[in-house]
Amino acid sequence: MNDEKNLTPQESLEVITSMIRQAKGNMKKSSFYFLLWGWTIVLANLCVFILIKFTTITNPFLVFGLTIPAAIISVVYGIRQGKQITAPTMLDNINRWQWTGFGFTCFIFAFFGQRIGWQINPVIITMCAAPTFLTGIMLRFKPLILGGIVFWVMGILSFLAPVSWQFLLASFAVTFGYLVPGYMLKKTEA
Amino acid sequence: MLKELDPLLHSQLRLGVMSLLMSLESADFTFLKEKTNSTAGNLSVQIDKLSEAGYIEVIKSFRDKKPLTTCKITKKGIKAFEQYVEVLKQYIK
Repeated sequence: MNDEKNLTPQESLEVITSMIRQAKGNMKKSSFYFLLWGWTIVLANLCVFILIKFTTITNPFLVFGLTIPAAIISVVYGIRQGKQITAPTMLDNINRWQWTGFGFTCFIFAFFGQRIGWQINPVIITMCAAPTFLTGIMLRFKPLILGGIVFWVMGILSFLAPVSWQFLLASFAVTFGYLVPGYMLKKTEA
Repeated sequence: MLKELDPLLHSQLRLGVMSLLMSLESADFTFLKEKTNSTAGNLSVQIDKLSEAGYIEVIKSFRDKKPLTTCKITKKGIKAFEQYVEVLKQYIK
């Protein structure tokens, strides 16, 4: 582009539309978080399910302590990645903050879990639905949209299931809500 | 009587930069240079003009010990851009 050229209205319009096209689709995809959290939550839930069903361990829920290093890794990775994005879109920011907000909400539920009789699994599974679904919409990525729907369905089933089975349902929900779309997203980033 | 197009925006490179910044939260100098396919010298001059007019905010910082220039559109800039598009519509009608 040069600055000396005298623009006709049509040329002005072309400049605007071509630049908007350049900025569109610039949204950063990130499969990393889906894979990190997918594996963390699937493993934690499966462990708890096995410990409840086949052992007499009194506090199997301590396995959920795995979420603490995952949260630290997410924050460190997020800060590093944030430095690499040269032109964040409005959607990048909205997406980042919706997941940060979601993270805070989850930790509040986990912290006060006792107050609701540790029945946090159905609540968290249901809560995973909206941000997953919305990220799918923002990235125009169907597997994540479907992942969001899986969370809603599994959230309903979870509320209806006995407590011990909720852990198995949660692993199933996260496998199809985070892991499968996460790996598919990773393929598109390559 | 047709209104005059804002001369500050009625230039290929400045209009390009403003169009990009309209769709982004912010953008660094290298990104703008790449997308507008301009030279560093020319882009730098045009960014200064837009900044002096208050259409964009230029933030200078460091990343990995290298200087980093980030541009962000201001409220005044958004208004000017929208007005430019409105006038442009009249020309095209």
